[in-house]
Amino acid sequence: MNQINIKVNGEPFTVSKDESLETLLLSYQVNLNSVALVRGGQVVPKTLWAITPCEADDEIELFGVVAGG
Amino acid sequence: MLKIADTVFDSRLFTGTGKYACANTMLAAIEASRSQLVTMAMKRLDFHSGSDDILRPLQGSNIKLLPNTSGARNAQEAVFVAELAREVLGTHWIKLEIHPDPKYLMPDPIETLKAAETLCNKGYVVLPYVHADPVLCRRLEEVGCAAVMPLGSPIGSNQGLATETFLKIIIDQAKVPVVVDAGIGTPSQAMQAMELGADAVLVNTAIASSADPILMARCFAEAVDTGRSAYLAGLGKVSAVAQHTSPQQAPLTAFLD
Repeated sequence: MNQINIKVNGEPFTVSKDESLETLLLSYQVNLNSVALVRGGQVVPKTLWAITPCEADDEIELFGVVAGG
Repeated sequence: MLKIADTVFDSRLFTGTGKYACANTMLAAIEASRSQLVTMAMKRLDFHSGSDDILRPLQGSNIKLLPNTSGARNAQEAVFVAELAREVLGTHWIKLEIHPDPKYLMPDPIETLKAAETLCNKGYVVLPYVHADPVLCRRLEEVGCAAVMPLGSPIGSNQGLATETFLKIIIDQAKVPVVVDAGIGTPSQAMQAMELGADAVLVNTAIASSADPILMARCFAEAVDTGRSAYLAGLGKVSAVAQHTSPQQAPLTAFLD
């Protein structure tokens, strides 16, 4: 069983076991410098993305910047 | 020169990035405004709808970015949004705004004070958006806020300085910069805020929703400069009765008596 199921912004997603958060983000084609990643309600600092693997049933939320006053 | 925390600003006009028809107009309007501090919001990414990248061009300029906590309904959520913003933008500056009521967007004073204290203790430079409440502004100053941002009238309403009497008290008492935020709808209202002695104003809707945002941004920049100069020059006293401007002597036509 090399695949695990996670959720990203509420939508189901399948990743390889041991895939890092950074690799996951790259698959979303987002600019890594303009995203915040929250896992299980906690902000995961950018410096940890490359060394933190996704885990089964992770609920990941991605946030970015939008126009506002 | 305006100084907030460790940063000096040449311009006393702060602007927002919301409500523009497109990113190019927004960038051109911000440039015309000469603003050196612009606000933005945080949002959960939506992979199904494309949106203009407003961040990249602004990051390439010398404009300071001020993320806000809009969308937070209480202190805990606001602190969380501030952490997200710091992660994305690498800034510990935060415009603290907590307005759970969607109709009037009135800032919640209790949650704002609570969040301000937490964020200041965590080392953030906190600029809280609040009602024009002189007591609350003092309390926010006491917990360490770098500035206070009282409202002129409801956000985006263009109603001007409905809170003028209280803004004057806040300006009189404050030991931190006072930025009049929200409700400023015309350049003359921005000028009025500056004449009262506000340290800066934050304008978004009035510029962004104008038919020519770039021209309007320039008008606001000029109005803010003029209002500041008038404040420094010192406004004349207001009097209930007329005061002669011509020399008072025996009546000019006394010889006719």
